[in-house]
Amino acid sequence: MRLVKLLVLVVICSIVWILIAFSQSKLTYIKQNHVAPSSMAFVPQTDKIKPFLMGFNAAYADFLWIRTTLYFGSHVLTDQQYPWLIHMVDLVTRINPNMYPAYEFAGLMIPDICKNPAAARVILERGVTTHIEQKWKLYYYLGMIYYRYYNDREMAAKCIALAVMQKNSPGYRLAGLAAAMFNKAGKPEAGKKFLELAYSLSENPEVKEYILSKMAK
Amino acid sequence: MRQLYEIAANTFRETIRNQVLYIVLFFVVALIFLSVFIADWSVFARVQVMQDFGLATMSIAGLLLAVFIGVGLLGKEVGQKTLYNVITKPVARMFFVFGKFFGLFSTLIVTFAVMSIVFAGTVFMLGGVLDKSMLWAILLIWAEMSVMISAAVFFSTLTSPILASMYALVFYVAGHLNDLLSLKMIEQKGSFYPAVLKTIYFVLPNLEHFNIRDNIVYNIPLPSSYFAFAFAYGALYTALFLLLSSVFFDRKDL
Repeated sequence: MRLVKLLVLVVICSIVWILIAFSQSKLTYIKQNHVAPSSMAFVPQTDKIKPFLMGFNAAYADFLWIRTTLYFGSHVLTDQQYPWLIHMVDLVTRINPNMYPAYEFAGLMIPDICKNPAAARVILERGVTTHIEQKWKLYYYLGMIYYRYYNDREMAAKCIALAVMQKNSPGYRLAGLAAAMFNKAGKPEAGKKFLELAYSLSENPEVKEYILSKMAK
Repeated sequence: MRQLYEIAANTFRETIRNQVLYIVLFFVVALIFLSVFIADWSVFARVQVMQDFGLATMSIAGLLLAVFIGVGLLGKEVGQKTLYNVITKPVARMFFVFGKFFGLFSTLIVTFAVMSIVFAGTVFMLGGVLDKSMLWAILLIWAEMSVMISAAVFFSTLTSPILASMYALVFYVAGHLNDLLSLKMIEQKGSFYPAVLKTIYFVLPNLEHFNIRDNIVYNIPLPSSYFAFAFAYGALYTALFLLLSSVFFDRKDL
Protein backbone atom coordinates (compact mmCIF):
# COMPACT_ATOMS: atom_id res chain seq x y z
CA MET A 1 0.00 0.00 0.00
CA ARG A 2 2.81 2.30 0.99
CA LEU A 3 4.66 1.46 -2.23
CA VAL A 4 1.57 2.29 -4.28
CA LYS A 5 1.28 5.63 -2.50
CA LEU A 6 4.92 6.36 -3.19
CA LEU A 7 4.49 5.39 -6.82
CA VAL A 8 1.48 7.65 -7.20
CA LEU A 9 3.42 10.50 -5.62
CA VAL A 10 6.38 9.98 -7.96
CA VAL A 11 4.06 9.87 -10.98
CA ILE A 12 2.26 13.08 -9.92
CA CYS A 13 5.54 14.88 -9.20
CA SER A 14 6.95 13.75 -12.56
CA ILE A 15 3.89 15.01 -14.44
CA VAL A 16 4.04 18.35 -12.63
CA TRP A 17 7.76 18.61 -13.31
CA ILE A 18 7.29 17.85 -17.01
CA LEU A 19 4.66 20.58 -17.19
CA ILE A 20 7.02 22.93 -15.36
CA ALA A 21 9.84 22.17 -17.80
CA PHE A 22 7.47 22.74 -20.70
CA SER A 23 6.34 26.12 -19.32
CA GLN A 24 9.97 27.02 -18.53
CA SER A 25 11.02 26.35 -22.14
CA LYS A 26 8.07 28.30 -23.53
CA LEU A 27 8.71 31.28 -21.23
CA THR A 28 12.41 31.32 -22.07
CA TYR A 29 11.63 31.17 -25.77
CA ILE A 30 9.07 34.00 -25.62
CA LYS A 31 11.27 36.21 -23.46
CA GLN A 32 14.31 35.74 -25.71
CA ASN A 33 12.35 37.44 -28.49
CA HIS A 34 11.34 40.34 -26.27
CA VAL A 35 14.63 41.34 -24.71
CA ALA A 36 15.06 44.92 -23.58
CA PRO A 37 17.92 46.70 -25.38
CA SER A 38 21.10 47.56 -23.56
CA SER A 39 20.51 51.07 -22.39
CA MET A 40 21.52 53.73 -19.94
CA ALA A 41 18.11 54.73 -18.60
CA PHE A 42 19.38 54.29 -15.08
CA VAL A 43 22.38 56.50 -15.42
CA PRO A 44 22.05 58.90 -12.54
CA GLN A 45 22.83 62.57 -12.40
CA THR A 46 26.27 63.14 -10.91
CA ASP A 47 25.32 65.66 -8.25
CA LYS A 48 22.47 63.45 -7.05
CA ILE A 49 24.40 60.22 -6.83
CA LYS A 50 27.71 61.47 -5.39
CA PRO A 51 26.62 61.78 -1.73
CA PHE A 52 25.30 58.22 -1.83
CA LEU A 53 28.48 56.63 -3.13
CA MET A 54 29.98 56.80 0.37
CA GLY A 55 33.51 57.03 -0.96
CA PHE A 56 33.13 54.26 -3.52
CA ASN A 57 33.47 56.76 -6.34
CA ALA A 58 36.25 54.89 -8.13
CA ALA A 59 34.42 51.57 -7.94
CA TYR A 60 31.21 53.09 -9.24
CA ALA A 61 33.10 54.91 -11.99
CA ASP A 62 34.72 51.61 -12.99
CA PHE A 63 31.31 49.98 -13.18
CA LEU A 64 29.93 52.82 -15.29
CA TRP A 65 33.01 52.71 -17.48
CA ILE A 66 32.44 49.02 -18.18
CA ARG A 67 28.83 49.78 -19.08
CA THR A 68 29.98 52.61 -21.32
CA THR A 69 32.36 50.40 -23.25
CA LEU A 70 29.69 47.70 -23.55
CA TYR A 71 27.22 50.29 -24.80
CA PHE A 72 29.74 51.64 -27.28
CA GLY A 73 30.72 48.16 -28.47
CA SER A 74 27.14 47.01 -28.96
CA HIS A 75 26.23 50.11 -30.98
CA VAL A 76 29.39 50.06 -33.09
CA LEU A 77 28.28 46.65 -34.32
CA THR A 78 24.66 47.66 -34.91
CA ASP A 79 23.16 51.11 -35.54
CA GLN A 80 26.28 53.23 -34.90
CA GLN A 81 24.20 55.75 -32.97
CA TYR A 82 25.49 56.85 -29.57
CA PRO A 83 23.04 59.30 -28.01
CA TRP A 84 24.21 58.63 -24.43
CA LEU A 85 27.91 58.18 -24.94
CA ILE A 86 28.97 61.74 -24.18
CA HIS A 87 26.93 61.85 -21.02
CA MET A 88 28.37 58.52 -19.89
CA VAL A 89 31.98 59.56 -20.43
CA ASP A 90 31.30 62.89 -18.78
CA LEU A 91 29.72 61.15 -15.81
CA VAL A 92 32.59 58.68 -15.41
CA THR A 93 35.14 61.50 -15.41
CA ARG A 94 33.11 63.55 -12.96
CA ILE A 95 32.72 60.68 -10.51
CA ASN A 96 36.36 59.67 -10.80
CA PRO A 97 38.32 62.65 -12.16
CA ASN A 98 41.51 60.56 -12.39
CA MET A 99 40.11 57.99 -14.80
CA TYR A 100 42.54 58.36 -17.66
CA PRO A 101 40.97 55.88 -20.19
CA ALA A 102 37.75 57.90 -20.18
CA TYR A 103 39.62 61.11 -21.05
CA GLU A 104 41.57 59.34 -23.76
CA PHE A 105 38.32 57.96 -25.15
CA ALA A 106 36.81 61.45 -25.07
CA GLY A 107 39.80 62.90 -26.91
CA LEU A 108 40.01 60.24 -29.59
CA MET A 109 36.47 59.05 -30.20
CA ILE A 110 33.87 61.64 -29.23
CA PRO A 111 34.84 64.34 -31.76
CA ASP A 112 34.49 61.93 -34.66
CA ILE A 113 31.87 59.36 -33.79
CA CYS A 114 29.53 61.69 -31.88
CA LYS A 115 30.35 64.66 -34.13
CA ASN A 116 30.77 66.74 -31.03
CA PRO A 117 34.29 68.14 -30.59
CA ALA A 118 32.96 70.71 -28.10
CA ALA A 119 31.96 67.95 -25.66
CA ALA A 120 35.36 66.30 -26.01
CA ARG A 121 37.08 69.67 -25.47
CA VAL A 122 35.09 70.33 -22.27
CA ILE A 123 35.90 66.87 -20.87
CA LEU A 124 39.59 67.21 -21.74
CA GLU A 125 39.80 70.71 -20.30
CA ARG A 126 38.52 69.26 -17.07
CA GLY A 127 40.95 66.37 -17.34
CA VAL A 128 44.03 68.59 -17.52
CA THR A 129 43.21 70.02 -14.10
CA THR A 130 43.63 66.58 -12.47
CA HIS A 131 46.73 64.70 -11.41
CA ILE A 132 46.95 62.14 -14.18
CA GLU A 133 50.34 60.65 -15.02
CA GLN A 134 49.85 60.95 -18.76
CA LYS A 135 48.49 64.47 -18.68
CA TRP A 136 50.60 65.45 -21.68
CA LYS A 137 48.39 63.25 -23.84
CA LEU A 138 45.29 65.15 -22.76
CA TYR A 139 46.94 68.44 -23.77
CA TYR A 140 47.99 66.81 -27.02
CA TYR A 141 44.43 65.62 -27.81
CA LEU A 142 43.12 69.06 -26.85
CA GLY A 143 45.61 70.68 -29.20
CA MET A 144 44.55 68.36 -32.00
CA ILE A 145 40.88 69.17 -31.41
CA TYR A 146 41.62 72.91 -31.64
CA TYR A 147 43.70 72.35 -34.74
CA ARG A 148 41.38 70.01 -36.58
CA TYR A 149 37.87 71.05 -35.59
CA TYR A 150 38.22 74.71 -34.56
CA ASN A 151 41.01 75.63 -36.99
CA ASP A 152 42.50 77.62 -34.10
CA ARG A 153 46.22 77.06 -34.69
CA GLU A 154 47.41 79.35 -31.97
CA MET A 155 45.34 77.63 -29.31
CA ALA A 156 46.43 74.26 -30.71
CA ALA A 157 50.07 75.33 -30.50
CA LYS A 158 49.57 76.52 -26.91
CA CYS A 159 48.06 73.20 -25.93
CA ILE A 160 50.91 71.27 -27.54
CA ALA A 161 53.35 73.62 -25.80
CA LEU A 162 51.70 72.79 -22.48
CA ALA A 163 51.93 69.09 -23.36
CA VAL A 164 55.71 69.49 -23.82
CA MET A 165 56.04 70.81 -20.29
CA GLN A 166 54.25 67.87 -18.69
CA LYS A 167 55.95 64.94 -17.02
CA ASN A 168 56.68 61.88 -19.24
CA SER A 169 56.00 63.78 -22.47
CA PRO A 170 58.08 62.90 -25.55
CA GLY A 171 59.56 66.39 -25.28
CA TYR A 172 61.52 67.01 -28.44
CA ARG A 173 58.88 65.56 -30.76
CA LEU A 174 56.11 67.61 -29.27
CA ALA A 175 58.29 70.72 -29.11
CA GLY A 176 58.86 70.37 -32.85
CA LEU A 177 55.15 70.03 -33.40
CA ALA A 178 54.42 73.05 -31.22
CA ALA A 179 56.98 75.05 -33.15
CA ALA A 180 55.40 74.06 -36.47
CA MET A 181 51.97 75.05 -35.18
CA PHE A 182 53.19 78.41 -33.90
CA ASN A 183 54.75 79.04 -37.29
CA LYS A 184 51.45 78.21 -39.01
CA ALA A 185 49.63 80.47 -36.56
CA GLY A 186 51.90 83.31 -37.65
CA LYS A 187 54.03 83.40 -34.49
CA PRO A 188 57.50 82.34 -35.66
CA GLU A 189 59.17 83.73 -32.52
CA ALA A 190 57.26 81.36 -30.28
CA GLY A 191 57.94 78.60 -32.79
CA LYS A 192 61.67 79.29 -32.63
CA LYS A 193 61.56 79.12 -28.85
CA PHE A 194 60.05 75.66 -29.02
CA LEU A 195 62.56 74.47 -31.55
CA GLU A 196 65.31 75.58 -29.13
CA LEU A 197 63.51 73.69 -26.41
CA ALA A 198 63.25 70.62 -28.63
CA TYR A 199 66.96 70.89 -29.37
CA SER A 200 67.84 71.03 -25.67
CA LEU A 201 65.53 68.14 -24.82
CA SER A 202 66.70 65.79 -27.51
CA GLU A 203 69.66 63.46 -26.92
CA ASN A 204 69.70 62.03 -30.40
CA PRO A 205 72.36 63.73 -32.61
CA GLU A 206 70.37 63.08 -35.79
CA VAL A 207 67.30 64.74 -34.29
CA LYS A 208 69.44 67.63 -33.07
CA GLU A 209 70.82 68.09 -36.59
CA TYR A 210 67.29 68.01 -38.02
CA ILE A 211 66.09 70.64 -35.52
CA LEU A 212 69.08 72.85 -36.34
CA SER A 213 68.20 72.69 -40.02
CA LYS A 214 64.59 73.62 -39.19
CA MET A 215 65.80 76.55 -37.07
CA ALA A 216 68.01 77.74 -39.91
CA LYS A 217 64.93 77.88 -42.19
CA MET B 1 -13.07 21.50 2.26
CA ARG B 2 -14.64 23.05 5.32
CA GLN B 3 -11.55 22.09 7.31
CA LEU B 4 -9.32 23.69 4.72
CA TYR B 5 -11.36 26.89 4.80
CA GLU B 6 -11.32 27.04 8.61
CA ILE B 7 -7.54 26.59 8.79
CA ALA B 8 -7.00 29.19 6.03
CA ALA B 9 -9.34 31.69 7.72
CA ASN B 10 -7.66 31.15 11.06
CA THR B 11 -4.22 31.60 9.49
CA PHE B 12 -5.45 34.78 7.80
CA ARG B 13 -6.65 36.16 11.15
CA GLU B 14 -3.37 35.14 12.78
CA THR B 15 -1.06 36.60 10.11
CA ILE B 16 -3.01 39.81 9.62
CA ARG B 17 -2.19 40.60 13.27
CA ASN B 18 1.51 39.90 12.75
CA GLN B 19 3.61 42.99 13.47
CA VAL B 20 6.23 42.01 10.88
CA LEU B 21 3.59 42.45 8.20
CA TYR B 22 2.93 46.05 9.21
CA ILE B 23 6.61 46.88 9.58
CA VAL B 24 7.34 45.58 6.07
CA LEU B 25 4.23 47.29 4.72
CA PHE B 26 5.28 50.58 6.30
CA PHE B 27 8.78 50.40 4.83
CA VAL B 28 7.55 49.40 1.39
CA VAL B 29 5.00 52.22 1.29
CA ALA B 30 7.69 54.65 2.48
CA LEU B 31 10.12 53.36 -0.16
CA ILE B 32 7.53 53.68 -2.91
CA PHE B 33 6.97 57.30 -1.89
CA LEU B 34 10.71 57.87 -1.69
CA SER B 35 11.15 56.41 -5.15
CA VAL B 36 9.87 59.76 -6.45
CA PHE B 37 13.16 61.28 -5.31
CA ILE B 38 15.19 58.30 -6.47
CA ALA B 39 13.60 58.66 -9.90
CA ASP B 40 14.83 62.25 -9.88
CA TRP B 41 18.40 60.93 -9.91
CA SER B 42 17.94 59.51 -13.35
CA VAL B 43 18.99 61.58 -16.29
CA PHE B 44 16.66 60.16 -18.86
CA ALA B 45 13.50 58.54 -17.59
CA ARG B 46 12.05 59.48 -14.21
CA VAL B 47 8.78 57.58 -14.45
CA GLN B 48 10.42 54.42 -15.72
CA VAL B 49 12.98 54.42 -12.94
CA MET B 50 10.24 54.97 -10.39
CA GLN B 51 8.19 52.12 -11.86
CA ASP B 52 11.16 49.78 -11.84
CA PHE B 53 12.14 50.72 -8.32
CA GLY B 54 8.57 50.38 -7.03
CA LEU B 55 8.06 46.95 -8.59
CA ALA B 56 11.45 45.75 -7.31
CA THR B 57 10.54 46.97 -3.81
CA MET B 58 7.31 45.01 -3.96
CA SER B 59 9.12 41.89 -5.10
CA ILE B 60 11.59 42.14 -2.22
CA ALA B 61 8.73 42.79 0.20
CA GLY B 62 7.18 39.54 -1.02
CA LEU B 63 10.41 37.75 -0.23
CA LEU B 64 10.68 39.27 3.25
CA LEU B 65 7.10 38.43 4.13
CA ALA B 66 7.40 34.91 2.76
CA VAL B 67 10.57 34.36 4.75
CA PHE B 68 9.60 36.00 8.03
CA ILE B 69 5.98 34.91 8.17
CA GLY B 70 5.87 31.88 5.83
CA VAL B 71 8.69 30.02 7.51
CA GLY B 72 7.24 30.58 10.97
CA LEU B 73 3.81 29.29 9.99
CA LEU B 74 4.52 25.64 10.70
CA GLY B 75 7.59 26.09 12.88
CA LYS B 76 5.71 28.24 15.40
CA GLU B 77 2.80 25.79 15.54
CA VAL B 78 5.19 22.95 16.29
CA GLY B 79 7.30 24.99 18.72
CA GLN B 80 4.35 26.30 20.72
CA LYS B 81 2.63 22.92 20.49
CA THR B 82 -0.59 24.58 19.22
CA LEU B 83 -0.41 22.16 16.33
CA TYR B 84 -1.65 19.32 18.55
CA ASN B 85 -5.02 21.03 18.98
CA VAL B 86 -5.54 20.54 15.27
CA ILE B 87 -3.91 17.25 14.38
CA THR B 88 -5.53 15.38 17.24
CA LYS B 89 -8.83 16.11 15.50
CA PRO B 90 -9.84 14.32 12.30
CA VAL B 91 -7.99 16.78 10.07
CA ALA B 92 -5.68 15.56 7.34
CA ARG B 93 -2.18 16.99 7.69
CA MET B 94 -2.29 17.86 4.01
CA PHE B 95 -5.21 20.20 4.68
CA PHE B 96 -3.25 21.79 7.47
CA VAL B 97 -0.34 22.61 5.11
CA PHE B 98 -2.64 23.80 2.33
CA GLY B 99 -4.76 25.82 4.76
CA LYS B 100 -1.70 27.54 6.18
CA PHE B 101 -0.54 28.41 2.66
CA PHE B 102 -3.89 29.81 1.52
CA GLY B 103 -4.28 31.78 4.75
CA LEU B 104 -0.95 33.51 4.37
CA PHE B 105 -1.44 33.99 0.64
CA SER B 106 -4.75 35.77 1.31
CA THR B 107 -3.04 38.04 3.86
CA LEU B 108 -0.32 38.92 1.40
CA ILE B 109 -2.84 39.59 -1.35
CA VAL B 110 -4.50 42.16 0.91
CA THR B 111 -1.10 43.66 1.82
CA PHE B 112 0.00 43.78 -1.80
CA ALA B 113 -3.27 45.38 -2.82
CA VAL B 114 -2.41 48.26 -0.44
CA MET B 115 1.12 48.47 -1.86
CA SER B 116 -0.23 48.40 -5.42
CA ILE B 117 -2.64 51.26 -4.72
CA VAL B 118 0.18 53.37 -3.26
CA PHE B 119 2.41 52.43 -6.19
CA ALA B 120 -0.27 53.30 -8.75
CA GLY B 121 -0.92 56.62 -7.00
CA THR B 122 2.78 57.50 -7.05
CA VAL B 123 3.15 56.61 -10.74
CA PHE B 124 0.09 58.71 -11.50
CA MET B 125 1.53 61.59 -9.46
CA LEU B 126 4.70 61.54 -11.57
CA GLY B 127 2.64 61.76 -14.73
CA GLY B 128 3.00 58.10 -15.67
CA VAL B 129 0.33 56.03 -17.33
CA LEU B 130 -1.18 53.07 -15.55
CA ASP B 131 -1.46 50.60 -18.37
CA LYS B 132 -2.21 46.91 -18.65
CA SER B 133 1.44 45.87 -18.54
CA MET B 134 1.79 47.41 -15.08
CA LEU B 135 -1.12 45.31 -13.84
CA TRP B 136 0.48 42.20 -15.33
CA ALA B 137 3.76 43.07 -13.61
CA ILE B 138 2.00 43.30 -10.24
CA LEU B 139 0.09 40.07 -10.82
CA LEU B 140 3.33 38.31 -11.72
CA ILE B 141 4.85 39.51 -8.44
CA TRP B 142 1.90 37.83 -6.73
CA ALA B 143 2.66 34.65 -8.64
CA GLU B 144 6.29 34.86 -7.56
CA MET B 145 5.18 35.43 -4.00
CA SER B 146 3.01 32.33 -4.18
CA VAL B 147 6.05 30.26 -5.22
CA MET B 148 8.12 31.84 -2.46
CA ILE B 149 5.54 31.14 0.25
CA SER B 150 5.13 27.54 -0.87
CA ALA B 151 8.93 27.15 -0.92
CA ALA B 152 9.15 28.66 2.58
CA VAL B 153 6.46 26.27 3.81
CA PHE B 154 8.30 23.38 2.16
CA PHE B 155 11.59 24.28 3.84
CA SER B 156 9.88 24.73 7.19
CA THR B 157 8.58 21.15 7.00
CA LEU B 158 12.15 19.92 6.52
CA THR B 159 14.15 21.85 9.07
CA SER B 160 14.22 24.47 11.83
CA PRO B 161 12.76 27.95 11.16
CA ILE B 162 16.20 29.64 11.09
CA LEU B 163 17.62 27.21 8.56
CA ALA B 164 14.38 27.32 6.58
CA SER B 165 14.67 31.13 6.39
CA MET B 166 18.20 30.82 5.08
CA TYR B 167 17.16 28.22 2.52
CA ALA B 168 14.30 30.45 1.39
CA LEU B 169 16.67 33.38 0.92
CA VAL B 170 19.14 31.25 -1.02
CA PHE B 171 16.25 29.87 -3.06
CA TYR B 172 15.20 33.42 -3.98
CA VAL B 173 18.71 34.44 -5.02
CA ALA B 174 19.31 31.21 -6.95
CA GLY B 175 15.92 31.56 -8.62
CA HIS B 176 16.81 34.99 -9.89
CA LEU B 177 20.29 33.95 -10.98
CA ASN B 178 18.90 30.96 -12.83
CA ASP B 179 18.26 33.23 -15.77
CA LEU B 180 21.99 33.76 -16.09
CA LEU B 181 22.45 30.01 -16.25
CA SER B 182 20.47 29.89 -19.47
CA LEU B 183 22.79 32.45 -21.01
CA LYS B 184 25.89 30.60 -19.87
CA MET B 185 24.39 27.39 -21.20
CA ILE B 186 24.25 28.82 -24.67
CA GLU B 187 27.76 30.21 -24.44
CA GLN B 188 29.42 27.01 -23.23
CA LYS B 189 30.99 24.51 -25.57
CA GLY B 190 31.23 20.75 -25.05
CA SER B 191 28.56 18.39 -23.79
CA PHE B 192 29.00 17.66 -20.08
CA TYR B 193 28.92 21.18 -18.67
CA PRO B 194 25.89 22.33 -20.67
CA ALA B 195 24.05 19.15 -19.60
CA VAL B 196 24.71 19.92 -15.91
CA LEU B 197 23.66 23.54 -16.37
CA LYS B 198 20.56 22.49 -18.25
CA THR B 199 19.56 20.18 -15.40
CA ILE B 200 20.07 22.94 -12.83
CA TYR B 201 18.13 25.30 -15.06
CA PHE B 202 15.12 23.01 -15.16
CA VAL B 203 15.27 21.84 -11.54
CA LEU B 204 15.51 25.29 -10.02
CA PRO B 205 12.64 27.64 -10.68
CA ASN B 206 13.50 30.64 -12.78
CA LEU B 207 12.03 33.49 -10.80
CA GLU B 208 13.12 35.92 -13.52
CA HIS B 209 10.10 34.73 -15.50
CA PHE B 210 8.02 36.73 -13.06
CA ASN B 211 10.10 39.83 -13.63
CA ILE B 212 8.94 41.92 -16.57
CA ARG B 213 10.21 45.23 -15.24
CA ASP B 214 12.63 45.73 -18.15
CA ASN B 215 9.80 45.21 -20.62
CA ILE B 216 7.71 47.84 -18.86
CA VAL B 217 10.55 50.33 -18.58
CA TYR B 218 11.48 50.01 -22.27
CA ASN B 219 7.91 49.54 -23.41
CA ILE B 220 8.42 46.12 -24.99
CA PRO B 221 5.03 44.40 -24.91
CA LEU B 222 4.90 40.69 -24.17
CA PRO B 223 2.31 38.41 -25.78
CA SER B 224 -0.59 37.25 -23.62
CA SER B 225 0.66 33.67 -24.00
CA TYR B 226 3.66 34.69 -21.90
CA PHE B 227 1.43 35.66 -18.98
CA ALA B 228 -0.60 32.48 -19.34
CA PHE B 229 2.56 30.36 -19.20
CA ALA B 230 4.02 32.43 -16.36
CA PHE B 231 0.92 31.98 -14.20
CA ALA B 232 0.80 28.28 -15.05
CA TYR B 233 4.49 28.04 -14.19
CA GLY B 234 3.94 29.72 -10.81
CA ALA B 235 0.89 27.58 -10.06
CA LEU B 236 2.73 24.37 -10.95
CA TYR B 237 5.73 25.18 -8.77
CA THR B 238 3.42 26.16 -5.92
CA ALA B 239 1.51 22.91 -6.32
CA LEU B 240 4.73 20.90 -6.42
CA PHE B 241 6.11 22.51 -3.27
CA LEU B 242 2.82 22.15 -1.41
CA LEU B 243 2.54 18.53 -2.46
CA LEU B 244 6.06 17.78 -1.26
CA SER B 245 5.45 19.78 1.93
CA SER B 246 2.35 17.69 2.63
CA VAL B 247 4.28 14.47 2.10
CA PHE B 248 7.11 15.52 4.40
CA PHE B 249 4.76 16.96 7.00
CA ASP B 250 2.67 13.80 6.91
CA ARG B 251 5.70 11.69 7.68
CA LYS B 252 7.05 14.03 10.32
CA ASP B 253 7.22 12.55 13.79
CA LEU B 254 5.48 15.18 15.89
